[in-house]
Amino acid sequence: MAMTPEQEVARLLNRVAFGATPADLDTWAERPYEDLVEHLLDVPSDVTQRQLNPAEFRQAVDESTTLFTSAAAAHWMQVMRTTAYPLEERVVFFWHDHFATSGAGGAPRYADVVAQINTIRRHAFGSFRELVAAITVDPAMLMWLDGDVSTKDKPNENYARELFELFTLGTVPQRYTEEDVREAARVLTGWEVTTSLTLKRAARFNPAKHDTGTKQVLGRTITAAGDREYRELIDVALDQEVAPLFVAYKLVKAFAYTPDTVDLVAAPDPLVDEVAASLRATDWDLREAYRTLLLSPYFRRPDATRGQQLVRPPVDLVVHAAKLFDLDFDDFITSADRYLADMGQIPLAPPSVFGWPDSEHWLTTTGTIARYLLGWAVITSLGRVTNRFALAGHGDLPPSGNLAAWTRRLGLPGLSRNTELAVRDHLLALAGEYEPSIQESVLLLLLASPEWEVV
Amino acid sequence: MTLTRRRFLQSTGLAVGASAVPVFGRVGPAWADAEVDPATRDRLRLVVLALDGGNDGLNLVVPVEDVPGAPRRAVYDRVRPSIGIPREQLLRLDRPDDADEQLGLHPALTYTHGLYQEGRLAIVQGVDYPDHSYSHATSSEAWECGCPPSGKPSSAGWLGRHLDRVGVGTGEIRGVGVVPELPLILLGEREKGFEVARLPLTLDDGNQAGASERYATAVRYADHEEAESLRRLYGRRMASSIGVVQELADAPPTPNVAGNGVAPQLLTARTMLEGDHGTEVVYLRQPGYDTHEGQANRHRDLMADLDQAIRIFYDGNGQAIGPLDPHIRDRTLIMVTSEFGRRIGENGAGAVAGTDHGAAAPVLLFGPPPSPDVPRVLRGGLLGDHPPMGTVQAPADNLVMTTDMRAVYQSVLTSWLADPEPEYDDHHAFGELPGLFAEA
Repeated sequence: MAMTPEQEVARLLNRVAFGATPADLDTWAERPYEDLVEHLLDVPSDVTQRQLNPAEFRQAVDESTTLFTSAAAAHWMQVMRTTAYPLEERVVFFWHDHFATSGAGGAPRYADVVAQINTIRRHAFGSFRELVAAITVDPAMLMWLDGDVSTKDKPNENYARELFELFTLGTVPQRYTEEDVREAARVLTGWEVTTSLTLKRAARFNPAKHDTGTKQVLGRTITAAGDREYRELIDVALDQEVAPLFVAYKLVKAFAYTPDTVDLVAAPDPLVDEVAASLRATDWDLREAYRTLLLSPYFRRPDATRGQQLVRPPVDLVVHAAKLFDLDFDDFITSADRYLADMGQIPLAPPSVFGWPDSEHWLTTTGTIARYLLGWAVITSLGRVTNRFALAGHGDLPPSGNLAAWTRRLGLPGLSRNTELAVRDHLLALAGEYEPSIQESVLLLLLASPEWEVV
Repeated sequence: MTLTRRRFLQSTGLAVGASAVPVFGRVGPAWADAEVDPATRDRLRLVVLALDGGNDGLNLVVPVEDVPGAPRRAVYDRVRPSIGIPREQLLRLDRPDDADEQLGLHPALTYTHGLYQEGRLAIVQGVDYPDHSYSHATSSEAWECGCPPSGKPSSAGWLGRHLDRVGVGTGEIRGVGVVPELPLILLGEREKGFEVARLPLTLDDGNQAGASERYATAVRYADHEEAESLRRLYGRRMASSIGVVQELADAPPTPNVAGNGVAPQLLTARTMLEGDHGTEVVYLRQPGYDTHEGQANRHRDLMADLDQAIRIFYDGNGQAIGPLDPHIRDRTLIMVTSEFGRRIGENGAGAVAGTDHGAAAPVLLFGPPPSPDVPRVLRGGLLGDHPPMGTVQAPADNLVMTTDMRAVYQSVLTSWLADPEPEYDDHHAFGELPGLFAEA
């Protein structure tokens, strides 16, 4: 079942750009899909103007109104909502999940993780090799995975293990051994984190604490190379057959669907294969990898089965809702805070280095109920803005019975027959009630519908 | 790193049960109204508490002195100069059958030690599985699956398969995870368990106009016409979540307990056991055990926290939280596991000293006092063999397996939960543990 151009635009933006608005549909429905992809990819290499500035967010967001979301995270979501480069912000958020470093525990602090986000942004449309290298000696990461206390006498294996297991190679198939982890830990010894009087952190290499012996990692020999030695380790890891497949797999799983495979090398999913080929051919260029992903016929297939779908992450839903109703996060976060917490995703605070869940694993009892209730965050925020019955002040809301218009108003490709029938029966049950009240009900139900939740 | 290393169901992200249409099909509006068979009150129950991150078993059950042929304490002192616990602080495991082993509990485990002295604590030593993995994700999956790693992701867990065998009645919340997401351990081919992270669960849409009509509409999302679609799965999770919330609408809320530890989750588990939901198996985790550095203080705090949680579970806190209903206490077994132990030798020095991932570690089982109405009772004390630690000149790197994890599981399934069929086809290969349970 083919999709109309407008449906493809909606689905693409709902997958990779924090959601489509009616204005997006107006602009792009009549233009080729490839034009939209190039537009999304057209992100300037100079990231200076777009870096997050910790000094700004404490002014913007009153943290005393939220229990769970930090001011830094709320500020970042405001950026996600308003940026001219939503694909950039979305992939930076993806890499944040991939390298899952949390500021919630105090060491690193939120400001340190924000600095890591800025590091990610510098490389998100550049080279994955440079990205991994930068993260390996990023102060927040050194603190998070104990790289800053790893010395030649007592090498700490934490980062070495996760470098292979979570960041570059994965475990299906597992192509590294315990011995590789121990040897890699030796390579990574000698790094420290310094803190200035203004609490600015920096990574520093201390040759006295570094193991200068020869190491054998993944079948290769690494000899003493001081503060460049970690680069050789990364080169060895990225040379492994499974590396481009693993990185491609993570991208496909984040933006398209969960591939149905048990061995990335023996039986890769076709979309994973295409993206991996791109990474190989371009020496790990990420912009090209995103382009390959978004233009692939496997990505563009109509999505009638779970094999081509994914459950949208909480932050995507919250930012999309904010875009649809022009809700500034310094206010909206007050209402959305507890739903983000119950849905299980607060930026800058992943639950562990394993990152956030994927797709259907978001659908816990508590998380599903929070998704059901998310529309209330919108209504509450609008109510504060208009100071009267919330939706009555919003002139551009469709009449409650016009579900086609509601679908477009919420940036959705369409509604299933079942959803439409259920909502229409609901409208019959509420017939005769005050129209803004019925509109509220429709909004709540559509922001809890399978079409909103699953892309 | 100070935060939990709790891992999600698939850290590699490969779909669990990708071929199976997920089953919440038994759950719908009628489910929440179903009567639970009163006979479920007499069921024997199991709480599995996973110490998440890899608990340092060698500092939980600690050598006090050397024994003939095994200079454990000497090795311990040699390789743990910073994190080693002085012998005089240890709580001796000195029941007559155990005293010769010269072992003691971590000093923070005072309530646990009291239960040991009453014969209500069994300690199975050296528990692990073959082809040990040092990865949190892989090893946690092995323990929840109840199977050594096979190179492919597991799609079911040993308690899920148990639920499949014994069957779950309509309206029963027979298997529950007090965790934020449905755990592998409770996944079967048919049964999936429920996740109840905390109580109360509310649909605080409740007082708003149109709320009940909206629930009725939302549960219809489960009938999505795409047969193999995540949209239908979402709809069915919506229906079952609303059903669970309605079923637990009258459940008492999780009490507030001072501190941040595992006591609230263990009390939520207790609420589920004490309620009339047919709850038989409960799974929960205490995070924080991945003590690569700074272990001395962190591990001590975790041990204290664990001990306090066990104490409050059984005895309450002398204020708002009363003692556990004796009917439930007499029928409940708590099993404490971890995805692996830690290395024998410490890493780092002084306050930053910690340990890297290890292998075998003890499993603790807490049981009730004997009761005339209950057919089985746990036999307290030390079981299995302490793994070798090498010599002072040549200390061993890791504690190796002396008891197969599957032997513990099979024993609990057959002798406590009365599972009619064996979990393992070849269960005689790793044996049942003799003496873990006794007929009352």
